[in-house]
Amino acid sequence: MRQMGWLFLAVLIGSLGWAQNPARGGTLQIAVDSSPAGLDPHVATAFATFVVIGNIYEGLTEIDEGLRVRPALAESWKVSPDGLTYTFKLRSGVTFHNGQAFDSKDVLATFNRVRDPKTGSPIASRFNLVKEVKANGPQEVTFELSQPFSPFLSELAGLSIVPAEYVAAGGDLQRRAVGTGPFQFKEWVPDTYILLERNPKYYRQGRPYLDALKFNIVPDAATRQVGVSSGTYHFLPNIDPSLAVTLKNAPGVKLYESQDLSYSLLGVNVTRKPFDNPKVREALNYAIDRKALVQAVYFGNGVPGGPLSPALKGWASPVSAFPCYNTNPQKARELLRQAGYPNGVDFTILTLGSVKTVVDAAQVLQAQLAPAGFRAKIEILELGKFVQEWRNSNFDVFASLNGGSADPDGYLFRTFSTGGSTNVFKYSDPKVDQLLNQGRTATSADTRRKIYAELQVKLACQGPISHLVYGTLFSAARDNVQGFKSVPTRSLLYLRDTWLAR
Amino acid sequence: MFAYTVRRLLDLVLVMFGVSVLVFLMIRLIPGDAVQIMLGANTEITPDRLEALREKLGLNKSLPLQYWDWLAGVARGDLGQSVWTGAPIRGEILARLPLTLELTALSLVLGVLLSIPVGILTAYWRNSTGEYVVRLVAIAGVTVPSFWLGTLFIYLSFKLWPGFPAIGYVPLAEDPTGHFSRLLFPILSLSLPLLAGLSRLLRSTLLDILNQDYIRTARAKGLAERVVMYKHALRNALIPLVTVIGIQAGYLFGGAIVVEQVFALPGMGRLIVGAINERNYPLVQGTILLVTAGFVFINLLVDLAYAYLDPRVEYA
Repeated sequence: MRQMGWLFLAVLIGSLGWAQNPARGGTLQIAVDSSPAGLDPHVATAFATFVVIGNIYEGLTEIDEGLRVRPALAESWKVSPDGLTYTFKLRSGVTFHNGQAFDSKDVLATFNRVRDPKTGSPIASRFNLVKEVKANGPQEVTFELSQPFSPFLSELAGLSIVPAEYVAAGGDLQRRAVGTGPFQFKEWVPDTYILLERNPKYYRQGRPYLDALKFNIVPDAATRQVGVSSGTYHFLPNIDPSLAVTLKNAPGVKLYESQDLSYSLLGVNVTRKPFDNPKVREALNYAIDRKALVQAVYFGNGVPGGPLSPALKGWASPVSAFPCYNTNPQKARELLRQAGYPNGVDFTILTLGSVKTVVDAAQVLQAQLAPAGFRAKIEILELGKFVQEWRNSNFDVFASLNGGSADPDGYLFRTFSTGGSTNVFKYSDPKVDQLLNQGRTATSADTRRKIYAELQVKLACQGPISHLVYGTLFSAARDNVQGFKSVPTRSLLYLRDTWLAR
Repeated sequence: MFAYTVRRLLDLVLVMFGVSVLVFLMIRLIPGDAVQIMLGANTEITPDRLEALREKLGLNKSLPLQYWDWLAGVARGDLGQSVWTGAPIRGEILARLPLTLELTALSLVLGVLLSIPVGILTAYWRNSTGEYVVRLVAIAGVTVPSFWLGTLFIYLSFKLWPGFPAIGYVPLAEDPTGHFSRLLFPILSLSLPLLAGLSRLLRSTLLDILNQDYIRTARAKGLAERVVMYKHALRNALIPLVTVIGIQAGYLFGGAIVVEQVFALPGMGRLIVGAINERNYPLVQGTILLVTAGFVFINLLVDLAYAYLDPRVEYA
């Protein structure tokens, strides 16, 4: 009888199609909007680059769809009780795409390359707390930290391991990517496509299923939409919410979704009037109607959020923890009066023009803010101008879309600590600094949770950023694309498990 | 004639020098350099590493020095290297130029060849119902921008014939049929507005000429209508048309930039737009210099063509 039960279950699962066997072969036609400027994983920060090289390179660790840290090139690791020493056992039998064997010298070479000021690597500052890296034989590496740094394992996922010999011999990583990942670089025809081929020696058994990934560069959104509708392309990674709505009911097309780490925001300069006054910043939050933004800008596909993305389950406080998230224009006016602005305030919102979501959000916000006495002028800027003003802190308020990080420290520390690398708001608060330092050095998860809960409440209402909405992250695919999983970090990690049904 | 040609060629050199200075300064006046654009907003880089990147890319030299280096290279036929990848710019341009030339040349030929009969017929049948229809279409053709026409074609072909390969690019050598089927809509998007403009111009010029005394004389002395039309009227009407074709060839190139964007074609237009967006200075300079040279050269050809078409024009 028991066996009958199992049989029944097996038939049931089979008939639902869950047990369909992955098919090997085929080229996945992907359409992306822009061409990478270069492929160097330690210099590039653009999404256009990472969407491609994320399939070529791997780190010691990787971040999965639930934002958990998983082993990648490191098979396992041990952390000393004081949190200062990390010892990694490296995976054996791994080779780079150029045939060189992977071992501890590659980890050392990679780390030294990133830390070398001549490389100009933007990610170097993430590893400031590393004192020393040592190889104990070919299969083991030890990192000594100068103080405990809880997000370390998560940060290592972003450190792509490059082959030591290739780099030492002057190999050009900007034009040829050589990693250990499931796909290897084959061909780059500028403005046309980048072709990656299956890595036949990949260490995960039987993976990847696909023979090749072809990243077609298609700048026009309407063309990408028709391309996936007609079957010219199989896959559009990380699309705009407006495009997702259009494709939702397209025959033959399905949408993959997850909660995005990225969020839309208003950032204010706390050294300029009137936003130097915390009451004005609080008033700004009361004036914003985030639920209306979700409807008008994200077509309902998103959630209001605080300083941490709801994708960071267990870390992110619910918005009910932030009193200023209850839209109340009267309260906003009252706070403005208390701050000494009974007639309201005038300011300019510098708007990142290259992202449609941001431009839409700025316009809706302008209308929302007016009744509370915030009279905003919108200035839409081209990317270059925006970046320049942003970096020089030359703004009253800016509207933008920022990426988050898999560990709370990654985003919060660099943004809100005094002198933090992306603290263009010039925000400085001793209590916040203290909490941020406790958060990254505390080794117990429970202690960290308490610290970050306190920080979020403090930052949500009176911090330099009004966090607006965390959108749903959509990728569009043809019906026969199987096995893909969307990851909140926007990485295409699971293309290695993706296959094309016939 | 010879002296004139030489003088015009010398002018060309002077113009190109002016353009080289302009393009060099203009791209640098746009805020944000290659490093800032590449890193984007919200990137955690320290100022010293930012400087290191600038130094690596040669962006921290003084402007006159950078200009001089570049000019000296250009004089030797070396356009320099792409900022990030270090790929030689000459190679990048040579890889893209043929497609854009093919696209503009075919669109120009199609537009011009069709505009002559359409212009003649509408001049002849003026004020008939058929002519009104053609005129309406022509006015629409002049007003509709090619990129919108391109998007429209993509949508229509998808709705009517989903299997038709309308998007992307296939090299001629790989698959000639696939190559031209993918170029069909881009060429139509570029040539239809051209056809509309040129045929309207030809029509109004012809109408002017057909009312001239010498046409009446020609008809009065019993010449066949065909001879009146082609030998007396059309030849004179072609002079303004040639001027406009010269200018239009330049605009076609501008249109090609947009159409390449819509149809995902890897031509010069995509190269230039990408270079400007990335602040890839040497690439912007090289491509703009080349395109301007082409534009100036076509104008020279137009001026020389006058002498052939209009014997009254003399070059001293």
